[in-house]
Amino acid sequence: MFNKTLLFFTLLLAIMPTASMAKSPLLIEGCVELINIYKSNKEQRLLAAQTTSLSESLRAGYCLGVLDQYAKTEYRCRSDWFKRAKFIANYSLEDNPPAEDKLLELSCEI
Amino acid sequence: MKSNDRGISIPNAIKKLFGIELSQHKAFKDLVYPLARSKGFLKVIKEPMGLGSTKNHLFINEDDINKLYNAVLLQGFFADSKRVKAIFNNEKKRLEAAEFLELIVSGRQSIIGVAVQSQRLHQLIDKLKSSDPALTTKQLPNPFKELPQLSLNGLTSVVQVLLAQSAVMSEGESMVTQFLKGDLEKAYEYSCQLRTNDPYLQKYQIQIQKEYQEANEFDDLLKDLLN
Repeated sequence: MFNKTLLFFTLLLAIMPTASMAKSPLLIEGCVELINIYKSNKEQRLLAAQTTSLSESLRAGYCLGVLDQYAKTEYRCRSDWFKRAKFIANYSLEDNPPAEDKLLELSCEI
Repeated sequence: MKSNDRGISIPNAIKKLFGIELSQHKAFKDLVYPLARSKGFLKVIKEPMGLGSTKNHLFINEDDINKLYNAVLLQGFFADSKRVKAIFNNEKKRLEAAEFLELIVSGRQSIIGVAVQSQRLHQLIDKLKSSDPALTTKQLPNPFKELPQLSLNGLTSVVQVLLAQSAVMSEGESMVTQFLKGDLEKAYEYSCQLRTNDPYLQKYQIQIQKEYQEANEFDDLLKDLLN
């Protein structure tokens, strides 16, 4: 009985990381969190900290950093970071989103 | 038991009613005498102390001894003797007092330093609410294990204790309530006003201030990053 339970949990733990990775790429997840943080920050003082977990804020930081860096290297990218983050975040509902490079490229064309 | 046809002396009455030596409890004595001196409340007989003294001995008419008993009990809750007398004379005040006891006292699990028997307290409240409580002739149920007039240091009634207690509790309670409701800003304001030795509240206080500072830093960071 105990062994079965243990086996179940081991399997569950083994599946979990792949499951969350398969959900959507880090950049998309990050931009979703960035938009969320932006919204709660605008909504009310202190709210962003209260509604954001550590991992969510790290993800958001990743999105912001990547967008910022990409804009510096690509002279054609004129849209502001918020529009691009929102554009990328919208891909979170898609099953097969484009790769990061493609996403960044597309986001600059809006 | 010294009593005569003129009535019973106040110390004897208190001894008879509560088994307490009035001379040993100064604060209690200071509460009881105004009841007897108050005009028209108890039937009293004055007798000159003699030997050139202008003071009088006070004797209470035996008919009024239960009224004295009830007044002393009610003083345990409401120190103010005016308020106590009003409970006897004014039906509205009496119902108000019953309501106060029901809402404020009976819902409490504890009042620091006062042991209250809840069943007797409910009987007392019911009596006060009834249309003819016979306050002047019949003794009310006594909910106290010991009269608060005797046991509390400096504070002489349940109301005073509750006020002292609630001054601390209300700030602490408000702080925790706001925190749990998610209003960090308000919780922080309360936490700054709170002075407490309660370790449970102190932990909340520290936690709230820490979270408030972190949230503030986060807001500052976002301001730099997102604009």
